[in-house]
Amino acid sequence: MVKGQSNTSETRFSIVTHCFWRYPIVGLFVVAVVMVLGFAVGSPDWPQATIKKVSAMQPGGAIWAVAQELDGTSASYTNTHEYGMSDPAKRLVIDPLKSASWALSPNEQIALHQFLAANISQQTKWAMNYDKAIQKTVGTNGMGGGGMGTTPVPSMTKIESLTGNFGPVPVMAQSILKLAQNGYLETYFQGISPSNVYQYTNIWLYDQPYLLNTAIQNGLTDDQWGMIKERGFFVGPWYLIVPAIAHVELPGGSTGLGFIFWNGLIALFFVVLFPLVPGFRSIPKYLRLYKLVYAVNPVEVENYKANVPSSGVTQDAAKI
Amino acid sequence: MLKEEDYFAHHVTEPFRFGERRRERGFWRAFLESFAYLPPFNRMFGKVSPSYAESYWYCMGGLTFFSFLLLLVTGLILTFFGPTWWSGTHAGIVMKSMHYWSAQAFFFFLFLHIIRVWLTGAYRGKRWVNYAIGFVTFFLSLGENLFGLLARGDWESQFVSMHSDDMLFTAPFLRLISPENFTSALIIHVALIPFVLVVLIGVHVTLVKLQGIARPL
Ligand code: HEM
Repeated sequence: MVKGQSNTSETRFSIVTHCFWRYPIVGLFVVAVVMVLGFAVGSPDWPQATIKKVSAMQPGGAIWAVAQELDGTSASYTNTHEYGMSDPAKRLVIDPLKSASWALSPNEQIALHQFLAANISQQTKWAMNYDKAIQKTVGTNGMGGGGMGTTPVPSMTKIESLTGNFGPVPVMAQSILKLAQNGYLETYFQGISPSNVYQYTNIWLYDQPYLLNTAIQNGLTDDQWGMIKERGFFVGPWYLIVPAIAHVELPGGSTGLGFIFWNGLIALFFVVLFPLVPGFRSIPKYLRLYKLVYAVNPVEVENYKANVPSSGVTQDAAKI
Repeated sequence: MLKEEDYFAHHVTEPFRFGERRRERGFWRAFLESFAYLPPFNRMFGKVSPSYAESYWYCMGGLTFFSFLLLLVTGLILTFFGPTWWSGTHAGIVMKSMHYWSAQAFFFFLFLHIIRVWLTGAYRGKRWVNYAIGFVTFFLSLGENLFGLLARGDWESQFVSMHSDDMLFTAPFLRLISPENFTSALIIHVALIPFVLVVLIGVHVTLVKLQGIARPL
Protein backbone atom coordinates (compact mmCIF):
# COMPACT_ATOMS: atom_id res chain seq x y z
CA MET A 1 0.00 0.00 0.00
CA VAL A 2 2.67 2.48 0.88
CA LYS A 3 5.35 1.48 -1.58
CA GLY A 4 6.66 4.50 -3.39
CA GLN A 5 5.64 6.70 -0.54
CA SER A 6 7.84 4.96 1.95
CA ASN A 7 10.56 7.53 1.81
CA THR A 8 8.34 10.51 2.20
CA SER A 9 6.61 12.15 5.05
CA GLU A 10 4.79 15.39 5.47
CA THR A 11 7.08 16.17 8.33
CA ARG A 12 10.81 16.83 8.27
CA PHE A 13 12.01 13.29 7.88
CA SER A 14 11.31 9.80 6.73
CA ILE A 15 12.36 6.46 8.16
CA VAL A 16 15.35 4.61 6.75
CA THR A 17 16.94 1.24 7.33
CA HIS A 18 20.38 2.15 6.06
CA CYS A 19 20.81 5.17 8.31
CA PHE A 20 24.35 4.36 9.28
CA TRP A 21 25.53 3.52 5.80
CA ARG A 22 28.66 5.56 6.40
CA TYR A 23 30.06 3.26 9.06
CA PRO A 24 31.87 0.66 6.92
CA ILE A 25 33.64 3.24 4.81
CA VAL A 26 34.47 5.64 7.63
CA GLY A 27 35.55 2.71 9.82
CA LEU A 28 38.00 1.57 7.15
CA PHE A 29 39.32 5.10 6.90
CA VAL A 30 39.85 5.31 10.67
CA VAL A 31 41.73 1.99 10.74
CA ALA A 32 43.91 3.15 7.87
CA VAL A 33 44.73 6.45 9.58
CA VAL A 34 45.51 4.74 12.89
CA MET A 35 47.80 2.25 11.16
CA VAL A 36 49.62 4.88 9.11
CA LEU A 37 50.15 7.07 12.17
CA GLY A 38 51.29 4.07 14.19
CA PHE A 39 53.89 3.18 11.57
CA ALA A 40 55.01 6.59 10.43
CA VAL A 41 54.61 8.89 13.41
CA GLY A 42 54.96 6.53 16.38
CA SER A 43 54.03 7.55 19.90
CA PRO A 44 55.67 9.17 22.93
CA ASP A 45 58.62 7.03 23.90
CA TRP A 46 61.34 8.88 25.78
CA PRO A 47 63.70 6.39 27.45
CA GLN A 48 63.49 6.13 31.23
CA ALA A 49 66.12 7.84 33.31
CA THR A 50 68.37 5.40 35.17
CA ILE A 51 70.18 5.87 38.46
CA LYS A 52 73.46 5.04 36.71
CA LYS A 53 73.10 7.76 34.09
CA VAL A 54 71.67 10.44 36.35
CA SER A 55 74.31 9.96 39.07
CA ALA A 56 77.09 10.12 36.46
CA MET A 57 75.60 13.26 34.96
CA GLN A 58 74.82 15.06 38.24
CA PRO A 59 76.90 13.51 41.05
CA GLY A 60 76.37 16.59 43.22
CA GLY A 61 72.63 15.94 43.16
CA ALA A 62 73.14 12.42 44.50
CA ILE A 63 75.38 13.61 47.34
CA TRP A 64 72.92 16.33 48.33
CA ALA A 65 70.03 13.84 48.25
CA VAL A 66 71.84 11.55 50.72
CA ALA A 67 72.19 14.45 53.17
CA GLN A 68 68.49 15.20 52.78
CA GLU A 69 67.43 11.56 53.24
CA LEU A 70 69.43 11.42 56.46
CA ASP A 71 68.16 14.71 57.90
CA GLY A 72 64.57 13.96 56.90
CA THR A 73 63.98 16.79 54.42
CA SER A 74 63.96 14.93 51.10
CA ALA A 75 60.90 14.83 48.84
CA SER A 76 60.42 11.20 49.88
CA TYR A 77 59.35 12.29 53.35
CA THR A 78 56.02 13.34 51.86
CA ASN A 79 55.77 9.83 50.41
CA THR A 80 56.46 7.87 53.56
CA HIS A 81 52.94 6.42 53.40
CA GLU A 82 53.86 4.67 50.14
CA TYR A 83 53.75 0.92 50.48
CA GLY A 84 57.10 -0.34 51.71
CA MET A 85 58.60 3.10 52.24
CA SER A 86 58.10 4.13 55.89
CA ASP A 87 61.63 5.49 56.51
CA PRO A 88 63.41 6.90 53.44
CA ALA A 89 66.78 7.19 55.24
CA LYS A 90 66.75 3.48 56.02
CA ARG A 91 65.23 2.44 52.71
CA LEU A 92 67.32 4.59 50.36
CA VAL A 93 70.65 5.00 52.19
CA ILE A 94 71.28 2.71 55.18
CA ASP A 95 69.87 -0.57 53.82
CA PRO A 96 71.61 -0.32 50.41
CA LEU A 97 74.92 0.45 52.15
CA LYS A 98 74.51 -2.48 54.54
CA SER A 99 73.64 -4.82 51.68
CA ALA A 100 76.76 -3.77 49.78
CA SER A 101 79.20 -3.83 52.67
CA TRP A 102 81.34 -6.30 50.71
CA ALA A 103 81.87 -3.60 48.10
CA LEU A 104 82.82 -0.86 50.57
CA SER A 105 86.39 0.06 51.47
CA PRO A 106 87.42 -0.32 55.16
CA ASN A 107 87.17 3.44 55.45
CA GLU A 108 83.61 3.41 54.16
CA GLN A 109 82.67 0.54 56.48
CA ILE A 110 83.97 2.45 59.48
CA ALA A 111 81.90 5.48 58.45
CA LEU A 112 78.74 3.38 58.22
CA HIS A 113 79.39 1.80 61.63
CA GLN A 114 80.12 5.16 63.20
CA PHE A 115 76.84 6.50 61.87
CA LEU A 116 74.81 3.49 63.04
CA ALA A 117 76.38 3.66 66.50
CA ALA A 118 75.40 7.32 67.00
CA ASN A 119 72.02 8.31 68.43
CA ILE A 120 69.33 9.75 66.22
CA SER A 121 69.77 13.39 67.14
CA GLN A 122 73.50 13.12 66.47
CA GLN A 123 72.80 11.46 63.08
CA THR A 124 70.31 14.17 62.13
CA LYS A 125 72.69 16.92 63.25
CA TRP A 126 75.53 15.65 61.07
CA ALA A 127 73.25 15.29 58.08
CA MET A 128 71.61 18.67 58.66
CA ASN A 129 74.99 20.41 58.84
CA TYR A 130 76.07 18.78 55.61
CA ASP A 131 72.77 19.56 53.88
CA LYS A 132 73.00 23.25 54.93
CA ALA A 133 76.63 23.50 53.79
CA ILE A 134 75.72 22.10 50.37
CA GLN A 135 72.74 24.44 50.14
CA LYS A 136 75.10 27.39 50.69
CA THR A 137 77.17 26.38 47.65
CA VAL A 138 74.13 26.70 45.38
CA GLY A 139 72.41 29.53 47.24
CA THR A 140 69.03 27.87 47.68
CA ASN A 141 67.34 26.09 50.51
CA GLY A 142 66.46 22.88 48.80
CA MET A 143 64.41 21.50 45.95
CA GLY A 144 61.93 23.91 44.46
CA GLY A 145 58.43 22.57 43.96
CA GLY A 146 56.94 22.19 40.49
CA GLY A 147 57.20 25.34 38.42
CA MET A 148 59.14 27.35 40.99
CA GLY A 149 62.16 27.26 38.73
CA THR A 150 64.84 24.65 38.41
CA THR A 151 67.03 23.62 41.32
CA PRO A 152 70.75 24.27 40.86
CA VAL A 153 72.88 21.14 41.02
CA PRO A 154 75.75 21.49 43.50
CA SER A 155 79.20 21.12 41.94
CA MET A 156 81.41 18.26 43.11
CA THR A 157 84.50 20.43 43.51
CA LYS A 158 82.63 22.73 45.88
CA ILE A 159 81.14 19.77 47.80
CA GLU A 160 84.54 18.14 48.22
CA SER A 161 86.08 21.29 49.68
CA LEU A 162 83.38 21.65 52.37
CA THR A 163 84.44 21.36 56.00
CA GLY A 164 82.34 21.20 59.16
CA ASN A 165 80.81 18.91 61.76
CA PHE A 166 79.46 16.39 59.26
CA GLY A 167 80.58 13.19 60.99
CA PRO A 168 80.62 10.18 58.65
CA VAL A 169 77.87 11.57 56.36
CA PRO A 170 80.15 12.77 53.49
CA VAL A 171 81.87 9.40 53.27
CA MET A 172 78.50 7.61 53.26
CA ALA A 173 77.27 9.93 50.52
CA GLN A 174 80.34 9.11 48.43
CA SER A 175 79.66 5.39 48.95
CA ILE A 176 76.08 5.80 47.71
CA LEU A 177 77.36 7.78 44.72
CA LYS A 178 79.77 4.98 43.90
CA LEU A 179 77.04 2.31 44.14
CA ALA A 180 74.75 4.49 42.04
CA GLN A 181 77.33 5.07 39.32
CA ASN A 182 78.38 1.44 38.99
CA GLY A 183 74.77 0.29 38.63
CA TYR A 184 74.56 -1.61 41.90
CA LEU A 185 71.92 0.63 43.44
CA GLU A 186 69.47 0.16 40.59
CA THR A 187 69.82 -3.63 40.72
CA TYR A 188 69.47 -3.56 44.49
CA PHE A 189 66.22 -1.52 44.30
CA GLN A 190 64.80 -3.89 41.70
CA GLY A 191 65.77 -6.84 43.85
CA ILE A 192 63.98 -5.67 46.97
CA SER A 193 60.80 -5.01 45.01
CA PRO A 194 60.67 -7.66 42.29
CA SER A 195 56.98 -7.22 41.47
CA ASN A 196 57.36 -3.48 41.02
CA VAL A 197 60.87 -2.95 39.73
CA TYR A 198 60.51 0.78 39.08
CA GLN A 199 59.26 1.85 42.49
CA TYR A 200 62.42 2.66 44.48
CA THR A 201 64.36 3.73 41.43
CA ASN A 202 61.75 6.38 40.68
CA ILE A 203 61.49 7.44 44.30
CA TRP A 204 65.28 7.75 44.51
CA LEU A 205 65.43 9.75 41.28
CA TYR A 206 62.66 12.09 42.38
CA ASP A 207 64.75 13.07 45.40
CA GLN A 208 67.43 14.42 43.05
CA PRO A 209 67.13 17.75 41.23
CA TYR A 210 67.35 15.95 37.86
CA LEU A 211 63.80 14.63 37.24
CA LEU A 212 61.93 17.77 38.22
CA ASN A 213 64.47 20.07 36.53
CA THR A 214 64.11 18.18 33.27
CA ALA A 215 60.34 18.35 33.56
CA ILE A 216 60.41 22.09 34.19
CA GLN A 217 62.74 22.66 31.23
CA ASN A 218 60.36 20.70 29.01
CA GLY A 219 57.26 22.46 30.32
CA LEU A 220 55.88 19.29 31.87
CA THR A 221 55.07 20.13 35.47
CA ASP A 222 51.44 20.44 36.51
CA ASP A 223 51.26 24.22 36.51
CA GLN A 224 52.88 24.29 33.08
CA TRP A 225 49.87 22.30 31.81
CA GLY A 226 52.03 19.17 31.84
CA MET A 227 48.87 17.09 32.29
CA ILE A 228 48.00 17.52 28.62
CA LYS A 229 51.53 17.21 27.23
CA GLU A 230 54.04 14.46 26.45
CA ARG A 231 57.81 14.69 26.51
CA GLY A 232 59.24 14.81 23.00
CA PHE A 233 55.90 14.29 21.26
CA PHE A 234 53.59 16.82 19.66
CA VAL A 235 50.24 15.29 20.65
CA GLY A 236 49.49 14.56 24.27
CA PRO A 237 46.31 13.79 26.19
CA TRP A 238 44.58 17.04 25.15
CA TYR A 239 41.29 15.53 26.28
CA LEU A 240 42.36 15.97 29.90
CA ILE A 241 41.85 19.70 29.45
CA VAL A 242 38.91 19.98 31.86
CA PRO A 243 40.64 18.23 34.82
CA ALA A 244 43.76 20.21 33.90
CA ILE A 245 41.89 23.50 34.22
CA ALA A 246 40.54 22.36 37.61
CA HIS A 247 44.06 21.43 38.61
CA VAL A 248 45.91 24.52 37.42
CA GLU A 249 43.44 27.39 37.58
CA LEU A 250 41.00 26.69 40.41
CA PRO A 251 41.90 27.32 44.06
CA GLY A 252 43.09 24.19 45.85
CA GLY A 253 42.87 22.20 42.63
CA SER A 254 46.34 20.80 43.08
CA THR A 255 45.46 18.95 46.29
CA GLY A 256 43.71 15.59 46.25
CA LEU A 257 40.59 16.92 47.93
CA GLY A 258 40.43 20.11 45.85
CA PHE A 259 40.89 18.15 42.65
CA ILE A 260 38.02 15.81 43.51
CA PHE A 261 35.85 18.74 44.59
CA TRP A 262 36.27 20.75 41.40
CA ASN A 263 35.94 17.80 39.06
CA GLY A 264 32.87 16.67 40.96
CA LEU A 265 31.35 20.14 40.62
CA ILE A 266 32.09 20.22 36.88
CA ALA A 267 30.60 16.74 36.46
CA LEU A 268 27.53 17.84 38.39
CA PHE A 269 27.10 20.77 36.04
CA PHE A 270 27.28 18.69 32.89
CA VAL A 271 25.32 15.68 34.14
CA VAL A 272 22.63 17.38 36.24
CA LEU A 273 22.40 21.14 35.87
CA PHE A 274 22.79 21.52 32.12
CA PRO A 275 20.39 18.76 30.97
CA LEU A 276 17.73 19.00 33.71
CA VAL A 277 17.28 22.59 34.89
CA PRO A 278 14.57 24.44 32.91
CA GLY A 279 16.13 27.22 30.89
CA PHE A 280 19.55 25.59 30.84
CA ARG A 281 18.27 22.50 29.13
CA SER A 282 16.64 24.54 26.36
CA ILE A 283 19.84 26.32 25.35
CA PRO A 284 20.42 24.05 22.29
CA LYS A 285 16.87 24.75 21.14
CA TYR A 286 17.45 28.52 21.07
CA LEU A 287 20.98 28.24 19.70
CA ARG A 288 19.50 26.50 16.65
CA LEU A 289 22.88 24.95 15.90
CA TYR A 290 21.12 21.62 15.45
CA LYS A 291 20.58 22.80 11.91
CA LEU A 292 24.23 21.98 11.30
CA VAL A 293 23.73 18.47 12.64
CA TYR A 294 20.59 17.17 10.97
CA ALA A 295 20.89 15.60 7.55
CA VAL A 296 18.59 17.01 4.91
CA ASN A 297 17.20 14.56 2.40
CA PRO A 298 16.69 16.42 -0.91
CA VAL A 299 13.95 14.00 -1.96
CA GLU A 300 12.01 14.78 1.18
CA VAL A 301 12.40 18.49 0.65
CA GLU A 302 11.10 18.19 -2.91
CA ASN A 303 8.16 16.08 -1.87
CA TYR A 304 7.40 18.48 0.91
CA LYS A 305 7.39 21.42 -1.49
CA ALA A 306 5.33 19.53 -4.05
CA ASN A 307 2.95 18.56 -1.28
CA VAL A 308 3.15 14.85 -2.10
CA PRO A 309 0.69 12.94 0.10
CA SER A 310 2.48 11.46 3.06
CA SER A 311 2.33 8.09 4.68
CA GLY A 312 0.80 9.72 7.69
CA VAL A 313 3.76 9.38 10.02
CA THR A 314 4.43 12.40 12.13
CA GLN A 315 7.45 13.51 14.06
CA ASP A 316 6.48 11.11 16.80
CA ALA A 317 7.75 8.40 14.53
CA ALA A 318 11.18 9.03 15.95
CA LYS A 319 10.14 7.38 19.18
CA ILE A 320 11.05 4.07 17.62
CA MET B 1 -5.07 4.49 8.09
CA LEU B 2 -1.60 3.06 8.41
CA LYS B 3 -0.55 2.37 11.96
CA GLU B 4 2.85 3.45 13.15
CA GLU B 5 3.99 -0.11 13.85
CA ASP B 6 3.07 -1.24 10.34
CA TYR B 7 5.03 1.60 8.95
CA PHE B 8 8.18 0.52 10.75
CA ALA B 9 7.57 -3.15 10.10
CA HIS B 10 7.38 -2.31 6.44
CA HIS B 11 10.79 -0.67 6.56
CA VAL B 12 12.40 -3.53 8.39
CA THR B 13 11.53 -5.96 5.60
CA GLU B 14 11.50 -3.72 2.58
CA PRO B 15 14.01 -4.87 -0.05
CA PHE B 16 16.76 -2.51 -1.12
CA ARG B 17 16.09 -1.19 -4.60
CA PHE B 18 19.45 -0.23 -5.93
CA GLY B 19 18.28 1.40 -9.16
CA GLU B 20 15.73 3.57 -7.40
CA ARG B 21 18.26 4.70 -4.82
CA ARG B 22 20.84 5.43 -7.53
CA ARG B 23 18.40 7.69 -9.35
CA GLU B 24 17.59 9.45 -6.09
CA ARG B 25 21.03 9.88 -4.47
CA GLY B 26 23.66 8.85 -7.04
CA PHE B 27 25.71 5.71 -7.54
CA TRP B 28 28.20 5.92 -4.68
CA ARG B 29 25.63 6.71 -2.07
CA ALA B 30 23.44 3.83 -3.25
CA PHE B 31 26.48 1.55 -3.38
CA LEU B 32 27.48 2.36 0.19
CA GLU B 33 23.93 2.12 1.47
CA SER B 34 23.64 -1.35 -0.01
CA PHE B 35 26.15 -2.64 2.56
CA ALA B 36 23.61 -2.07 5.30
CA TYR B 37 21.50 -4.77 3.64
CA LEU B 38 24.23 -7.39 3.40
CA PRO B 39 23.68 -10.43 5.64
CA PRO B 40 26.40 -9.62 8.19
CA PHE B 41 24.95 -6.18 8.75
CA ASN B 42 21.46 -7.63 8.68
CA ARG B 43 19.69 -4.40 7.67
CA MET B 44 21.73 -2.53 10.23
CA PHE B 45 20.59 -5.05 12.83
CA GLY B 46 16.97 -4.51 12.00
CA LYS B 47 17.25 -0.94 13.08
CA VAL B 48 15.29 1.79 11.41
CA SER B 49 16.11 5.41 12.04
CA PRO B 50 14.86 8.83 11.06
CA SER B 51 16.53 10.26 7.99
CA TYR B 52 17.77 13.41 9.73
CA ALA B 53 20.19 11.11 11.57
CA GLU B 54 21.91 10.29 8.29
CA SER B 55 24.67 12.84 8.90
CA TYR B 56 28.27 12.36 9.92
CA TRP B 57 27.43 13.87 13.29
CA TYR B 58 25.31 10.86 14.15
CA CYS B 59 28.20 8.54 13.33
CA MET B 60 30.35 9.93 16.14
CA GLY B 61 29.02 7.62 18.86
CA GLY B 62 29.51 4.62 16.59
CA LEU B 63 33.01 5.74 15.68
CA THR B 64 33.79 6.14 19.38
CA PHE B 65 32.61 2.58 19.81
CA PHE B 66 34.69 1.48 16.85
CA SER B 67 37.80 3.19 18.24
CA PHE B 68 37.11 1.43 21.53
CA LEU B 69 37.18 -1.90 19.67
CA LEU B 70 40.52 -0.90 18.14
CA LEU B 71 41.79 -0.08 21.64
CA LEU B 72 40.68 -3.50 22.88
CA VAL B 73 42.33 -5.37 20.01
CA THR B 74 45.64 -3.50 20.10
CA GLY B 75 45.58 -3.56 23.91
CA LEU B 76 45.09 -7.33 23.98
CA ILE B 77 48.06 -7.81 21.67
CA LEU B 78 50.21 -5.57 23.89
CA THR B 79 49.08 -7.50 26.96
CA PHE B 80 50.04 -10.84 25.46
CA PHE B 81 53.53 -9.79 24.41
CA GLY B 82 54.30 -7.60 27.41
CA PRO B 83 56.33 -4.51 28.32
CA THR B 84 59.69 -5.69 26.95
CA TRP B 85 58.10 -6.25 23.57
CA TRP B 86 56.18 -3.00 23.32
CA SER B 87 59.07 -0.79 24.30
CA GLY B 88 61.97 -2.79 22.90
CA THR B 89 61.06 -4.16 19.48
CA HIS B 90 60.06 -2.46 16.28
CA ALA B 91 56.79 -4.40 15.97
CA GLY B 92 56.00 -3.72 19.60
CA ILE B 93 56.57 0.00 19.27
CA VAL B 94 54.35 0.14 16.17
CA MET B 95 51.59 -1.75 18.02
CA LYS B 96 51.94 0.54 21.03
CA SER B 97 51.71 3.53 18.70
CA MET B 98 48.55 2.18 17.10
CA HIS B 99 47.11 1.78 20.58
CA TYR B 100 48.07 5.40 21.29
CA TRP B 101 46.45 6.72 18.11
CA SER B 102 43.34 4.64 18.69
CA ALA B 103 43.03 6.41 22.04
CA GLN B 104 43.41 9.75 20.27
CA ALA B 105 40.68 8.71 17.82
CA PHE B 106 38.49 7.49 20.68
CA PHE B 107 38.56 10.84 22.48
CA PHE B 108 38.34 12.83 19.25
CA PHE B 109 35.11 11.09 18.26
CA LEU B 110 33.87 11.11 21.85
CA PHE B 111 34.18 14.90 22.06
CA LEU B 112 32.33 15.26 18.75
CA HIS B 113 29.70 12.80 20.00
CA ILE B 114 29.15 14.86 23.14
CA ILE B 115 28.89 18.05 21.07
CA ARG B 116 26.34 16.34 18.81
CA VAL B 117 24.32 15.23 21.83
CA TRP B 118 24.33 18.78 23.23
CA LEU B 119 23.48 20.52 19.97
CA THR B 120 20.47 18.26 19.40
CA GLY B 121 19.39 18.33 23.05
CA ALA B 122 19.39 14.53 22.97
CA TYR B 123 19.53 14.33 26.77
CA ARG B 124 15.86 15.22 27.14
CA GLY B 125 13.30 13.02 28.86
CA LYS B 126 14.03 9.38 29.42
CA ARG B 127 17.33 9.67 27.51
CA TRP B 128 18.85 11.53 30.45
CA VAL B 129 19.75 8.22 32.09
CA ASN B 130 21.79 7.22 29.06
CA TYR B 131 23.33 10.68 28.93
CA ALA B 132 24.47 10.22 32.54
CA ILE B 133 25.81 6.74 31.77
CA GLY B 134 27.69 8.28 28.86
CA PHE B 135 29.32 10.82 31.13
CA VAL B 136 30.35 8.23 33.70
CA THR B 137 31.94 6.32 30.82
CA PHE B 138 33.73 9.47 29.73
CA PHE B 139 35.22 10.21 33.15
CA LEU B 140 36.23 6.60 33.60
CA SER B 141 37.97 6.68 30.21
CA LEU B 142 40.02 9.64 31.41
CA GLY B 143 41.11 7.56 34.40
CA GLU B 144 41.89 4.66 32.09
CA ASN B 145 44.09 7.04 30.12
CA LEU B 146 46.08 8.00 33.22
CA PHE B 147 46.79 4.39 34.14
CA GLY B 148 47.76 3.65 30.56
CA LEU B 149 50.32 6.41 30.78
CA LEU B 150 51.65 5.03 34.07
CA ALA B 151 51.86 1.52 32.63
CA ARG B 152 53.83 2.56 29.56
CA GLY B 153 57.22 2.44 31.22
CA ASP B 154 58.98 5.36 29.54
CA TRP B 155 60.29 8.67 30.91
CA GLU B 156 56.83 10.22 31.03
CA SER B 157 55.43 7.34 33.15
CA GLN B 158 58.42 7.64 35.42
CA PHE B 159 57.94 11.36 35.97
CA VAL B 160 54.13 11.35 36.11
CA SER B 161 54.06 8.48 38.60
CA MET B 162 56.08 10.58 41.05
CA HIS B 163 54.56 13.92 40.15
CA SER B 164 50.94 12.77 40.52
CA ASP B 165 51.62 10.76 43.65
CA ASP B 166 51.02 13.64 46.06
CA MET B 167 47.63 14.21 44.54
CA LEU B 168 46.40 10.68 43.91
CA PHE B 169 47.81 8.59 46.73
CA THR B 170 45.90 10.61 49.31
CA ALA B 171 43.15 10.15 51.85
CA PRO B 172 40.25 11.29 49.59
CA PHE B 173 41.14 8.44 47.25
CA LEU B 174 41.31 6.11 50.28
CA ARG B 175 45.05 5.75 49.72
CA LEU B 176 44.16 3.15 47.13
CA ILE B 177 45.64 4.64 44.00
CA SER B 178 49.40 4.56 44.16
CA PRO B 179 50.71 5.74 40.79
CA GLU B 180 54.11 4.63 42.04
CA ASN B 181 53.03 1.03 41.82
CA PHE B 182 53.66 0.02 38.21
CA THR B 183 52.22 -3.46 38.66
CA SER B 184 48.92 -2.30 40.05
CA ALA B 185 48.73 0.51 37.46
CA LEU B 186 49.13 -2.10 34.74
CA ILE B 187 46.46 -4.36 36.20
CA ILE B 188 44.06 -1.46 36.67
CA HIS B 189 44.68 -0.39 33.07
CA VAL B 190 44.40 -3.77 31.34
CA ALA B 191 41.80 -5.51 33.47
CA LEU B 192 39.84 -3.52 36.03
CA ILE B 193 38.77 -0.37 34.20
CA PRO B 194 38.35 -1.98 30.73
CA PHE B 195 35.96 -4.50 32.26
CA VAL B 196 33.79 -1.72 33.69
CA LEU B 197 34.06 0.24 30.43
CA VAL B 198 32.87 -2.72 28.37
CA VAL B 199 29.84 -3.10 30.65
CA LEU B 200 29.02 0.64 30.62
CA ILE B 201 29.44 1.01 26.86
CA GLY B 202 27.36 -2.14 26.35
CA VAL B 203 24.53 -0.69 28.44
CA HIS B 204 24.83 2.68 26.68
CA VAL B 205 24.60 1.26 23.18
CA THR B 206 21.81 -1.15 24.16
CA LEU B 207 19.79 1.74 25.57
CA VAL B 208 20.32 3.70 22.34
CA LYS B 209 18.98 0.72 20.42
CA LEU B 210 15.97 0.37 22.72
CA GLN B 211 15.11 4.06 22.95
CA GLY B 212 15.96 5.02 19.39
CA ILE B 213 17.18 8.36 18.18
CA ALA B 214 15.79 11.41 19.95
CA ARG B 215 13.21 13.53 18.18
CA PRO B 216 14.41 16.61 16.37
CA LEU B 217 14.43 19.91 18.26
C1 HEM C 1 32.56 5.36 25.22
C2 HEM C 1 31.80 6.31 24.97
C3 HEM C 1 30.51 6.31 24.15
C4 HEM C 1 30.09 5.49 23.15
C5 HEM C 1 30.83 4.28 22.56
C6 HEM C 1 28.80 5.97 22.73
C7 HEM C 1 28.05 5.41 21.71
C8 HEM C 1 26.83 5.91 21.28
C9 HEM C 1 26.15 5.53 20.07
C10 HEM C 1 26.66 4.52 19.05
C11 HEM C 1 25.00 6.26 19.99
C12 HEM C 1 23.99 6.25 18.82
C13 HEM C 1 23.85 7.61 18.16
C14 HEM C 1 25.11 8.27 17.74
O1 HEM C 1 26.06 7.57 17.40
O2 HEM C 1 25.17 9.51 17.77
C15 HEM C 1 24.93 7.05 21.19
C16 HEM C 1 23.87 7.88 21.52
C17 HEM C 1 23.84 8.69 22.63
N1 HEM C 1 24.90 8.98 23.45
FE1 HEM C 1 26.66 8.01 23.47
N2 HEM C 1 28.46 7.05 23.49
C18 HEM C 1 29.49 7.29 24.36
C19 HEM C 1 29.59 8.32 25.27
C20 HEM C 1 28.58 9.22 25.52
C21 HEM C 1 28.71 10.38 26.37
C22 HEM C 1 29.98 10.82 27.08
C23 HEM C 1 27.49 10.97 26.41
C24 HEM C 1 27.11 12.21 27.17
C25 HEM C 1 27.26 13.37 26.67
C26 HEM C 1 26.59 10.20 25.58
C27 HEM C 1 25.25 10.48 25.38
C28 HEM C 1 24.47 9.89 24.42
C29 HEM C 1 23.07 10.15 24.21
C30 HEM C 1 22.19 11.08 25.06
C31 HEM C 1 22.66 9.39 23.09
C32 HEM C 1 21.26 9.34 22.48
C33 HEM C 1 21.29 10.28 21.31
C34 HEM C 1 19.95 10.44 20.62
O3 HEM C 1 19.00 9.73 20.96
O4 HEM C 1 19.89 11.30 19.72
N3 HEM C 1 27.29 9.15 25.03
N4 HEM C 1 26.06 6.84 21.95
